[in-house]
Amino acid sequence: MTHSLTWLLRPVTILGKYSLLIARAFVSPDDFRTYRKNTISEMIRIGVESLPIVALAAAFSGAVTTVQVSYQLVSVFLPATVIGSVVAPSIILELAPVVTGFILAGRVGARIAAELGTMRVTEQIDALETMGLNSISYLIAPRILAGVVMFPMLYVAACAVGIGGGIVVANLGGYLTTQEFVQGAQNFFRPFDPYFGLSKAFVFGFIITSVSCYMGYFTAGGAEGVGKSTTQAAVMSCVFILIADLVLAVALL
Amino acid sequence: MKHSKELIVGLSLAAAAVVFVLGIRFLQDVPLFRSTYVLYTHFDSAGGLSGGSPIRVRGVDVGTVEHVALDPDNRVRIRLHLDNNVHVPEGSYAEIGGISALGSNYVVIFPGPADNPSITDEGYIEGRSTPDALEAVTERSVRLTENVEEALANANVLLEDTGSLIGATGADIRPTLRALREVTDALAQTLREEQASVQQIIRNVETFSEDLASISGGSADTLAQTLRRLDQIAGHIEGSLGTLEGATRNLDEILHKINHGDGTIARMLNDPTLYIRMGSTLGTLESLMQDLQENPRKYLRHMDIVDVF
Repeated sequence: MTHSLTWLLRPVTILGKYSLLIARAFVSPDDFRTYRKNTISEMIRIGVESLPIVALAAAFSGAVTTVQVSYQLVSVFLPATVIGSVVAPSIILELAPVVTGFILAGRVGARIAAELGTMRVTEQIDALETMGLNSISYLIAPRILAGVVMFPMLYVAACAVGIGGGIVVANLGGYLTTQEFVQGAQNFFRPFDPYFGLSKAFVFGFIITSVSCYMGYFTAGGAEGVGKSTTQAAVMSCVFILIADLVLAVALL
Repeated sequence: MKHSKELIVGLSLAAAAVVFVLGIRFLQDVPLFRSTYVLYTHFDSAGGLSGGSPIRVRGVDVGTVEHVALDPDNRVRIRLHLDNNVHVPEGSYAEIGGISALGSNYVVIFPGPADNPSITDEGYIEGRSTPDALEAVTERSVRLTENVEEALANANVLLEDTGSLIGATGADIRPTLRALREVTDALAQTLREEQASVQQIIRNVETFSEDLASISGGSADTLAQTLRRLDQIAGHIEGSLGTLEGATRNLDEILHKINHGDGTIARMLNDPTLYIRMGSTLGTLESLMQDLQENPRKYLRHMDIVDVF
């Protein structure tokens, strides 16, 4: 009886454990300057080093969206500019944040979980605690901070490159001209869209880094445990990105 | 090394911020680097206009609506950004164009006389309110619906009238229908009775057409030959007709000459002197013959030479 109740309440327990971990990471008695070096290098690894793969994915998703929208919207009554009006908001609202999120869940989430998990199973975290450092703040805060700051940067890059990829393919494939694309994008542009995309990026950055930190920090069971938490970090980041995507869309649009 | 890492992070964040702001301004069609000037206008209704809507002069985009706001007197105040090289003379006015339901509204500026001085920065341009195209359609469709209802009511009345008319004349129609049916029955009976002869007739017609077919099939060559000959004959006839025509023309010429007094025959026909002379000659000859009968000796005396024989 008590066993099944524990099993039922497990998700809630995990939520509590997760929230406490994140809260303790930021409620730190130490000065932030202690973590500055760590934060900068995490920013480089999470943000700047992810730029090429994010740009590549964004360019291709923008290009594919353009081709497919032009394929779907073949009508005498629709001007070619409509393609731009559909592609640009799709990239700004959905494609750029979600594609970036999935890529970073694999690239960044797995790396964070593997790092922290290895530190846990090789007892480096215990060593940090012995040295008198707040291991939670020292390891988790810089990573989440870097994710939250750098993810919007990656989102902006993804938007720019994605729309650029769409325009290039529209021209090369003969679907519509740059002028038509830009005019269509401008005609139906709502200034709220990029801010909404930016807030998605902010939330996704927090989800990926914090979920991965949780998975890595509470790793148990040696090398196998590290592999398990690495996989879990990537998968759970993706799942929570999808949930957050829907929740944000329903709440803000 | 540490410093350069911070520099890279700072640079990428700054670049993202710049791209974000410029991107939004670009997609809002707010000019990024072009120099512009500002005009104000008032409309009764914004009609779907919003910041970023294009401004057009004679169909050319010349700027954007910067923002749309409500004045204290509940009129809509609109700030327009126009490219510096666009000349809007005094006496110009603005209207809202496009269909708001499609979200493609824009401000149209109708330029005044080109000689007038240009409206300067922060100037005011008259805004004329026109009903939105969709609103106009909606208004019309209400009227249309009323008309359709009226027409339907009329149609109902008409149907009722027709019904009552048929009811009143039903008595007349029924005997007519009965008579018609009798006629049809009689016709059917006749056909039944005379079926044999009708079939005979049809058979005959068939035989006849078969014969005709065989005839025309068998003598097709002869027919073609005959036709060829007929063609030749027609050619000959045509030639003859040509000759005939020439003859007629000659005859015409002769008759013409005769009528107009050329040649001997013409004179004979046309000149009466000959006739008169002939008459007088005949008269003289008659009196001579008379004289000869009465006095033969008078002439015979001189014929002594006869006596010789």
